[in-house]
Amino acid sequence: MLRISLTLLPLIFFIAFFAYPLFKILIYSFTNSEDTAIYPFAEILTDPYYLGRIWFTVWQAFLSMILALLAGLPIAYIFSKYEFTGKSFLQALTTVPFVMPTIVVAMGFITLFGNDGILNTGLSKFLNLNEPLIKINNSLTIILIAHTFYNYSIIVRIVSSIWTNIDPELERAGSILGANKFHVFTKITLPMLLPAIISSALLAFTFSFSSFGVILVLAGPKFATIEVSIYQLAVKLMDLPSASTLCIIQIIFTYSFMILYSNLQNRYSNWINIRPRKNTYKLKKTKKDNIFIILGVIYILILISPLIALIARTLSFEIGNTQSHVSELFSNQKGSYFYLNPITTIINSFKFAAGTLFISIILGTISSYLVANRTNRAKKHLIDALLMLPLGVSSIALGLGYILAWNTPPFDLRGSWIIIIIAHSLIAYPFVMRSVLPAIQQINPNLREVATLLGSSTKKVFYKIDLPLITPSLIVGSTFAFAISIGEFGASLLLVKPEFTTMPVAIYRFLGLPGDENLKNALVMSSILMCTVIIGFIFIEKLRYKNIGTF
Amino acid sequence: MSQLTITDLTKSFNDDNVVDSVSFSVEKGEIVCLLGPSGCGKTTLLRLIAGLEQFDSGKIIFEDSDLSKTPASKRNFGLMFQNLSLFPHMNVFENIAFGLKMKNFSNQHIDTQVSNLLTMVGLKGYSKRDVNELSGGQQQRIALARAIAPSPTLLMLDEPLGSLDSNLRNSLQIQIRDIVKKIGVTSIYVTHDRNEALSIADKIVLMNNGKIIQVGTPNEVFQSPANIFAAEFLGHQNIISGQLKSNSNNISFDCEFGKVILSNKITYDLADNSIIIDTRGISLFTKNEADNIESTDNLYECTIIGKSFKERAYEFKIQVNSQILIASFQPNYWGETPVLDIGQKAYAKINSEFIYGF
Repeated sequence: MLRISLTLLPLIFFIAFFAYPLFKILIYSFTNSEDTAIYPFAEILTDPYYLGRIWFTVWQAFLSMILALLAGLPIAYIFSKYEFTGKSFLQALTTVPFVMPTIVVAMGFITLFGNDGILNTGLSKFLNLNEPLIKINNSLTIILIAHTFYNYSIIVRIVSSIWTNIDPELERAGSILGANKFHVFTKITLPMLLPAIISSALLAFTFSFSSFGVILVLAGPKFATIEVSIYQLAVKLMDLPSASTLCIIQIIFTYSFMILYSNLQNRYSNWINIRPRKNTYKLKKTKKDNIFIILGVIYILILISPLIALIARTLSFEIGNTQSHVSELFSNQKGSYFYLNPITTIINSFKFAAGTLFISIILGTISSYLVANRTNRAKKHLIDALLMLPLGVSSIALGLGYILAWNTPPFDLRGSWIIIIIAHSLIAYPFVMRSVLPAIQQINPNLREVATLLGSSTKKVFYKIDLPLITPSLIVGSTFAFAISIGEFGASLLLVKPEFTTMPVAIYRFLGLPGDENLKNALVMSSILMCTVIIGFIFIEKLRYKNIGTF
Repeated sequence: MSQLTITDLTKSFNDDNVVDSVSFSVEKGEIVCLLGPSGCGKTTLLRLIAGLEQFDSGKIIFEDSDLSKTPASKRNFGLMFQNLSLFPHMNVFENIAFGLKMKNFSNQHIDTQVSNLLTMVGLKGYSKRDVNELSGGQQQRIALARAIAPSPTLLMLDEPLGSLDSNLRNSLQIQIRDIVKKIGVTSIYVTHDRNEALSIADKIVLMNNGKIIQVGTPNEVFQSPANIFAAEFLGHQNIISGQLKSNSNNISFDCEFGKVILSNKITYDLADNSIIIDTRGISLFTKNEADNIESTDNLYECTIIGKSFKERAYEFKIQVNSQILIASFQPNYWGETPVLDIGQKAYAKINSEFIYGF
């Protein structure tokens, strides 16, 4: 009985808060709006403006992907082939952008490249200029740089995890057989890396494709992607049918990428000869190698410079002013002439994150068992893929779906706090699942059987054997869940009522208000948000090497 | 009444009878080996008895009660697996104490019990060790201690030494047998290794394709295998089919390469019309040596077609007419090597006391 209800829990959640809202969106996109005679679907697909947005979304994502590859592969090489002091710290640093909330990244770019940003003020002083030298605000350039910043860490993470573990004997065998360095790389190393390169590139493409916060904040309406257009249609123009249509188009795109991605994953997980790390590092470093490593370190520092800029700016308020701005943010009620009380906002964010943590741990764990307990391979893959679907849906689409699906009493959830937690949990639980599922599958079933014969009931076997063994992965997964909730922007923007404003939404609102004070508020809050996430992930890095679960 | 009686037990996966109407019984204190090639159903049979799998039909009676209603956790059976089945998140003490804790024994009782067991398996002072740092042999001894800690009424061992190297396996076999006999627990031991089964078992249950082929003491199973599968599985090499003939002088066996005179000290009951000639029962001679042998009974001209050194003896592959036989030659301690070599003609004499029949 307990078992059945535990199985049903994720399914009910999945249907109610994923399948049903998406179904509603689909219905809407094929429903006539009152004032026009054509279906919104046909309308969008014949409108040159929206076709232009779709085309723009595709090629900017493609360009971003290429740039991310160019930025990421050299670092992946250094991490895979060299061992040096401070490497693990540097590795942690590289992961930072990937887990940063979009809004924080956007703030970092404004601080560094904005018209009043650190670079421009510095250069103006130095060169005695009257206007900013770097004018990339609201341009394609800043979108591309921001996307590169975001995605190179995915390339580094995925490619280096394979590169580190390629058996160096294979390369050696190649050179003994007479291949020169170039041939060893192109004929042996590259073919083995290619699946990893392609799948990481695919992820970079997908993330750039559904990018929302970065574009909304940095580039403005001129460079709207599909995602931003959905938001504009739904919130600014109240044109829900058209927004729904764009959602469907967006979903079709992202799922095609996801299917490609998981096919690749399945393929290359089988044939690469993985060796323990300690066998694969180059042992001797030459002087040339040292220069290489130093260049790499500088390179990484440049790549995360927007975040450094953000921190530096925040600190400069602290040092330059007689009164601390951070304490001002917490004490001064000036901030609340507008409806945002910063402290309430921070508390809100933490409350939602706690709720998300709770729900996504339970959902993620049960879902993992649902998959792990299937013995039939085909069914197993099907359920796994099904439960991972929320990973591919954009948060804007999700938010829109909730507005459309849960808007009639007694189930009018619009504007309630629970709907925000639900949205965050739906986005977060696949991360818990991706982390916990491999851990469950690694448990030798004999352990459970021995425990059973030694007198443990099913429940006791779970608490005494499974739970202690999956705890590290559970912590990793839930840190992701926490970070996702804290930084989630798109769905929150659509769903929150003023009194439930979260940190990312507040930053966005501060940015939309005139005046220096609001910009400072946005900055300080971004720094707080960033530090929260970083602390979480320092925690993860400590656990990471015990656990192989990455996605 | 036997302690454990299994009657017509059947289990199938996807219409394939993995365990096919199996019946046998186990006496109290006995070590029974389930022996057979991999995939013969021996592990499944063990899991059915343990309650880890549900059987389709049949009966398992343990101490006069039907086990089908008793869940695995309530049977009070011990189980030991092939490898890595120690709980990796617990130390040696916690592993051994696990079953005792499940039975809510007092901490004091658990402490003394665990330290007694550690002494018994020869790992005194290891109680705080991390199990992942132990060697394979040490891990298996801890696994044995954990299995017998709650004083099970039946101990089940599923290829417990399968992952160890052969030297370690031999010494642990003896240790396991000693410990099991000392505490007197009835045991079922699954293995595919005939030598392991022969040396550890009181009774062997030989299985193939889900069915029981033969039940008997190691000696019975070895010396009078039930059929050709049993003979081959127990490692016999010279398995010859033919006809039993008797006249006033002797009993003989007519087969492809001629007539073999059998010993009159042994009574043969050849249900399958086959005999086994133990490799030690064939001696090889050069022509000169053969000329000096008085009796030409069971003396055959042959060609040497192969020679190798195995374990403790040379093994000759010889051809007598069209029949290929294996003869072993044990060098004496000063290292006498056989003069015969591949390609040579020789004479083979079969000692009739090394012939088994089935």
